[in-house]
Amino acid sequence: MTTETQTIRSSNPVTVLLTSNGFLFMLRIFLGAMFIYSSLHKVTNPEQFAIAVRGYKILPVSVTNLFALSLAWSELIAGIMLLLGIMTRKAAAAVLLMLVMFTAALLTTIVRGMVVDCGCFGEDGSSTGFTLVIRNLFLSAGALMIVVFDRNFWSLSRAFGKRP
Amino acid sequence: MRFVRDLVGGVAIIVASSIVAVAQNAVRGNPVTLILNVPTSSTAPAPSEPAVQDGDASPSPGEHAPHPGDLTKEQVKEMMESGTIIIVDARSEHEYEDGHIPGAVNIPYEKLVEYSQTLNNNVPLDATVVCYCRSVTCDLSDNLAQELRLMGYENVLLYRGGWDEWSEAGYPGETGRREQ
Repeated sequence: MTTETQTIRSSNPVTVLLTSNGFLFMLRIFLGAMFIYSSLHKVTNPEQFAIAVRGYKILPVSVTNLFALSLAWSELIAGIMLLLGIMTRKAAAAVLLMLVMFTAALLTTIVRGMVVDCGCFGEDGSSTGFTLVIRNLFLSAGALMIVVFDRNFWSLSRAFGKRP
Repeated sequence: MRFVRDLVGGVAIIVASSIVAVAQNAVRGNPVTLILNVPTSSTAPAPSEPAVQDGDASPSPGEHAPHPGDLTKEQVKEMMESGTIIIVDARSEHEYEDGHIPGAVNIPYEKLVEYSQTLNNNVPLDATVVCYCRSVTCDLSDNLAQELRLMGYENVLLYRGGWDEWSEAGYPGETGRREQ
């Protein structure tokens, strides 16, 4: 066990629980499964996702299709990596970066007084708003915890001999 | 330091995924156009020819001031009665069924691709189309208008007041789903 881990284990019980292998594993599975689920409709129906991206009115219209395609596949691949534990911390970092970007986009719609189709989970019809910002902040905190504390517990990386 | 290295790794995963996305799109049966050619009209407000010239179209005190190219409820009503426009409701199926402007075609913005056949069947490219959604605080109609312009519709107008303003004014409405 590393010195860093021993330091964490000597702190308060909540920290011990939140940084335990079991909790981080469940967090990893949850985030990975959620990103895979959210990406499936986007990957199979990129035209509709591009329409949702254009609705935010942030990017130039000309690049929205390329952006939507890239984002959909990034969600899918990062989700699979997270679920299986392949380069877990880097996959969690990719998820974190995407969540930060989504949250910033949501905040710009709120600041501009816009209510648009979120595009989060395909055709679920949810609209932008503070609820989604708060949800994303929780998810970002989860991804950040994996980036900082993950020790490759029950992961393919460890199965193939990569040390934490 | 390890955190920064992981973030850089995260960026690398996103870049690699984007390359996979472009490659997969190239072998798709129906590939998406990666860089859109944006028509000039899609970035400019729609042209507006007021249908009502007698002053009735002016918003009364307290009503929102329409953007250039927007229609007032009086203009929409006049054009609807004269049959010169196709009205498109950008709200969800559920909201549409609860109440909509008579004769409006429902094209839910979040299901635009799915509804493209309905659009083709009901709305010719040279038609004058009026989009609306719930109210002035809703952006679905504006976004749907942008998509329609990208699809080649040249005369797309907005009724920003939407269903809330229309129904509060006591104008006629329909409920349920039309055959589309």
